[in-house]
Amino acid sequence: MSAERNRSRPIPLAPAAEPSGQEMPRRTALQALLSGAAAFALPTALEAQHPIHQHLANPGALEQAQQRAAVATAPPVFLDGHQAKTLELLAETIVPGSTAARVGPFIDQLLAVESGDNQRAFAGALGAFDMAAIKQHGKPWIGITAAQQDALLREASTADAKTSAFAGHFQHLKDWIAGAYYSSEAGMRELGWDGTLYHAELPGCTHPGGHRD
Amino acid sequence: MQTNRFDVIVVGSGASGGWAAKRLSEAGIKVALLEAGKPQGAADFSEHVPPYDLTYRDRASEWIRRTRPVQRDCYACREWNYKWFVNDLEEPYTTPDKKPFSWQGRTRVVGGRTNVWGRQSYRFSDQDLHGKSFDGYGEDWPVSYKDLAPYYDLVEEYVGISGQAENVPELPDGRFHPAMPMTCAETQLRTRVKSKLGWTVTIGRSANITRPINGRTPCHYCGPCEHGCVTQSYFNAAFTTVADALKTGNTTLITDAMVYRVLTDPSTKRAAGVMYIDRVTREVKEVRARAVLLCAQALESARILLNSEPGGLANSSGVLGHYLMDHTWVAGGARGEFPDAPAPKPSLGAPRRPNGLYTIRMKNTINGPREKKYLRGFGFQGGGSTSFRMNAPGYGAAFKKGVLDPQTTVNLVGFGEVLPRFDNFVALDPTVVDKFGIPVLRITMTWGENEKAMIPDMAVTATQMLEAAGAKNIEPFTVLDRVPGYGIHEMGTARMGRDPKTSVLNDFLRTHDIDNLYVMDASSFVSGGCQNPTLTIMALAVRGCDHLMQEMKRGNV
Repeated sequence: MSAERNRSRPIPLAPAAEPSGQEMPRRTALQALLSGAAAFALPTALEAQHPIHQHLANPGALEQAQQRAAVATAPPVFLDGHQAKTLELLAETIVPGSTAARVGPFIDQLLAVESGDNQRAFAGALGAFDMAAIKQHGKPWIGITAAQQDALLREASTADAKTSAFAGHFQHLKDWIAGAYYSSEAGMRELGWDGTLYHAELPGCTHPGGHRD
Repeated sequence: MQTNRFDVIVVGSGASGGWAAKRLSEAGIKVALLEAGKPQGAADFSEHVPPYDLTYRDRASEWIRRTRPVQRDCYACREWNYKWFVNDLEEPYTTPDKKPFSWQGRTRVVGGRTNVWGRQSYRFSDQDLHGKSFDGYGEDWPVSYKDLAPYYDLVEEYVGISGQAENVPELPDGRFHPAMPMTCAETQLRTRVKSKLGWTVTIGRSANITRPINGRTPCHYCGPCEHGCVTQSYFNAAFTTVADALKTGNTTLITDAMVYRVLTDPSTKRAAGVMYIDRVTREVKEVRARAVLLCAQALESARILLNSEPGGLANSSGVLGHYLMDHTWVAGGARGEFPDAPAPKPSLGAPRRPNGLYTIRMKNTINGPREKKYLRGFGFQGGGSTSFRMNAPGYGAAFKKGVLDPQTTVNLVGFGEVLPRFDNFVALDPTVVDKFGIPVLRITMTWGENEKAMIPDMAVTATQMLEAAGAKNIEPFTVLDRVPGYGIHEMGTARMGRDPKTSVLNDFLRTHDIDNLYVMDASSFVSGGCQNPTLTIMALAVRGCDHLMQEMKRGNV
């Protein structure tokens, strides 16, 4: 096997589920539906424009969606269970909606293929939040109340990251979490993504004066 | 060993190779077009795939770096398309200690670098071509603007360049498709810089069509051209020149062909063909023809010539591999905010302009004052945008609200001319070979005193422009230790000239030493200007092909 194949293969998202002998695989069923081979009504022209039909017509996307659906029950790849739970709580507080967007598991996937330096930096940042909670309340992050978490986050988010290590760790985690959230479908839709790919026109400045002084 | 015979061999299917194959095969000439990479088509394009449909949403750089540690530094090498780029571990190059060079944009697909290029397309002026006559440094090109102008016209007509005529002598106008519009902040910059400083800020001249041509559809503003384009709205040799060449039935495309040597006839000393290794089967094959055209990219073509015979083929001058140039890029400039400029709310659902601004060279111009600290000049690229504030402070709902608070900025990034120097060069590494066993290049390049003097002035000048435009919170930047190569405009390794003692090629890109051997990529450049080179590469290639065809008719080739 070439180095290319060794190195570039993505890590499996989850063990592939074996279809039972009785079931038509979901992908096959959906493709049959789309091709009209199954005894289902085909979507109307209007319905066919819905994004779900574009996904269903794309075997690659369908395959990935299936893999992703299986991730929900998969254990984290890089993080341990405690770290994963800590990350989930922090992510939801820093960028609300992160749990539903599966920010934590996605970051775990990224960390699994990250450099050692970046893995250490992330683990250290999570650990810093645990230690801050232990110092003030005698328990790790997941053991303190929401109000206590909020107070610590307020401290971390208002201190100067250049002089406060805790603030630096906060910013480090926040960048990861925000990046993961806003690249998820939910996050992108919050920023206006609607799947439109073809634009007939490009708006530009129409002010006649050209914004002179 | 298999041997096939053709009229002409073209090595490389990118900007120049695609044109060569098209021009020659449309004239009835039998062409073998050899490409080191794989076939490329619409099924390989992914410009409409959102990040959340990728395994890592393009956020796992380290994963790509495991196989492409150099290529990943290229803005265009991303999770969508990284497999188009060379595996740096399998096909490395070397550099001397403390002289790093970043050889990016090495693609292994039909169409070459035009799959992922920045598409900025500018003509060279006579001042660019005859810099020595202007300031005494280096050599003049053996061609003038009037020699190139008809070929610029021809190429632009086919490629499709959107842009705006400005009637500025430093940047000759062309035959443009309708220009893409500027934002209000950009218009403010253009208007005020012109009135206060006299310099011209224009919309980028980009190989993105804005009206239909040749069955290609105008740009639909989805954004990431470097992932491909199913509507063929940007210029990519794979679906334009190469496709046209194949349509003639006169071009045979051979993919996965790692050409490593130009064969010569021992009795005539003329080029007889090329040898290559099939990347898949590892078979060694040869192709023979009446003429050989190297269009493999400036460093790759030099590598083939250096590997063809000890000391390098067609190297009686001793300058093969020397006078390597790039542009200084992301080394100096400035960014400013335009909080008062009207702007639509940012949205990921909005159209995305695949183009930026271009500021025409304003230093050391024909009619302007001369700089005391450096020769030549620079332009600015970059542009304006209204974007989400991803660095909003705080957390929770307040952070998410802050993200939606738009910020309008304009970036000006200098693109500077690099003087040709003999001591910037490529040679064969004496010990390192690639996975095919082909000796690799050892690249030696540093910035000279002229570049080091010019870069800080980019920051000063960009700041001056932004101040004139009324920008706020201006942030200049200077990166004197920017590694050469980031411009991804390698030029000059087999330069043209009238004197065979100081140049490799004549004015038609034919080697002085071997009259049926041509080098048609940016190897031929005598100086680099501060403009993106691809348009000039294509114009020169077509001109060279016309010369070759005349020579073939005369029986000289």
